[in-house]
Amino acid sequence: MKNSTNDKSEKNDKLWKDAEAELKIHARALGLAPGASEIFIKKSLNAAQKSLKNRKIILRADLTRTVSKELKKYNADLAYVFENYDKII
Amino acid sequence: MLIQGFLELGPGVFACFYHHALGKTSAKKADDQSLSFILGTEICVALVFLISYIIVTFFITRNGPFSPIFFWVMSGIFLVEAIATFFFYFRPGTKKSTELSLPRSLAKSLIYHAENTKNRSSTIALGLVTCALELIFTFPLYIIASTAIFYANTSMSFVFIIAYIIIATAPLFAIRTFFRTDHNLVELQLIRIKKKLATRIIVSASFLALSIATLIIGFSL
Repeated sequence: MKNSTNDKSEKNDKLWKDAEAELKIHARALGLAPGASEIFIKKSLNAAQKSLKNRKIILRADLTRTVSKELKKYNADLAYVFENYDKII
Repeated sequence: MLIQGFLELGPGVFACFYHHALGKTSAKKADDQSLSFILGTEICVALVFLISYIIVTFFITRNGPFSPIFFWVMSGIFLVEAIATFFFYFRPGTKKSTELSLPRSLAKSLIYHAENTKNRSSTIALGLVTCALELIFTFPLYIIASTAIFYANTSMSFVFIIAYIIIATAPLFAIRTFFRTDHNLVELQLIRIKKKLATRIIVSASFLALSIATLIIGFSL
């Protein structure tokens, strides 16, 4: 029981880390200033983590939706790319 | 040629690839790698052209000139493609994206490989594979183009093939220039979404025109 809970939290952690790395790549590709973008990416991820904290399993779709909703407050382009990247083809 | 220039899979994968390369490496390196992708596509177009030309030559030299049935079958294929591109080329029900009617696992795999190309050879391979995946729409075009070249039998055949390759890869050069002139993926996507209906109409109308033309050729033989 304890092992499966650990597995889930590990998976969730990996999901958040992957999202952060992906966002950094998108931000650089969009030509955003590295320092500023890093700050608002962290803020958006923290806010998204707070709003999803009651969920035991976080799906990638939930994460994408919540993070891009938060990101829209800081940079609409980055939010758009993060939300729609899988829908390009 | 026009149809090939309007197909969206190659430009979509190329846009993902270029965007990701810009995020991971310097602009110069991304620019450099993008040429490898275009080279891969050009190799694929040239190879398929060669294969289709060999097939056409083999059949004509073995069985004599194509019978009307060949042209009627080609006409049918183009008609089916005209209908398919108008109704099913883009995934139905996706108004705000450019998702194609590909299996999602395949689309995700293409995006994954576009994100993770590490050297020139893998980039060339990505260009090749992307071009090969469009063959369901483009192979009949190659067959008809090869037939036309075979019957025309002029010294301009080589120029025609080169023109075909250039037009087939023109959208990729356009996207490369778009990124190089300080535009980004968001702007590109908004343009692609805006011209979705136009793409469907142009490709479908072109296939329909080809269908009618081959039907007329079939009847005139």
